[in-house]
Amino acid sequence: MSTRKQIPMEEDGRYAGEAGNFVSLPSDNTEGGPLKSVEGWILFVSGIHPEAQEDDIYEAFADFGPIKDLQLNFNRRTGGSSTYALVSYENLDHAQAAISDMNGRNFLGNILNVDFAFKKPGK
Amino acid sequence: MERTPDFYLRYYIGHKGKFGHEFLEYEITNEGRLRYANNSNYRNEPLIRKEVYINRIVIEEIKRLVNNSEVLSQDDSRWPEPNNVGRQELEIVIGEEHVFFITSKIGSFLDVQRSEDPEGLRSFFYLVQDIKCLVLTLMSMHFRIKPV
Repeated sequence: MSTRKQIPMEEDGRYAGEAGNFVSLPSDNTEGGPLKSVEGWILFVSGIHPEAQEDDIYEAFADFGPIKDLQLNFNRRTGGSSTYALVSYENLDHAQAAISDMNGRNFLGNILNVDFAFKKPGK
Repeated sequence: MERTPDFYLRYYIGHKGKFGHEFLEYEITNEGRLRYANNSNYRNEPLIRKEVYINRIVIEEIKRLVNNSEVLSQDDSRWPEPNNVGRQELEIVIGEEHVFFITSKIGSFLDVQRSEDPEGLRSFFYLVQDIKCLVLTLMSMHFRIKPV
């Protein structure tokens, strides 16, 4: 634990007034469940092998429908790929099919976890 | 009923200078509320305040990044003091563990190597970059914003 002084969030005024208005995308009033992003439905994929390439993930996930966007990052600490990726589909059915089929699947020797990245507030 | 372990993460980097208080901050709560703030007053850039709820799968990945970094066993007492170039704060709660680090901005890896606690500061330096990268990817894909 730090022995240094923290500036309490409320006291330095960095979220005072307008600066405290956080913008969200609209969602219906139901609680929980997947939330749609600006360009479609975004899946979070974890358990990815550090030597996996974007191509490997693209090929595996393109079976369920056209992929709108795919992002695989680098892990600074290990120098390999991040063990997660984000994959988005325009169509909700395609995203749901990818989750049902790919979650728990062995991919390059690792077990994948696949779910929607974002949810509606509540639950 | 099994209780979900508590989770909380907040990161702040900023300084006060001729463009006012410029900072980038994000906070993730146990309920999955991710808040992202970016104040760059340079050329009257607008304030950015975004909020979205992330699923458990994303929090589990962040916990994995934290645990693999071994930052929870570090101590910031020999890390550089925050100064007028800037400050960083990282607060993490995972279950019973609670850490809170404060240090200066770290310009490059050389600053890490030359510090009094290169091992601890390296753990912090890499974790901060890996989590920032994940958060910016989440925000830019969800909102279609270009991260600064």
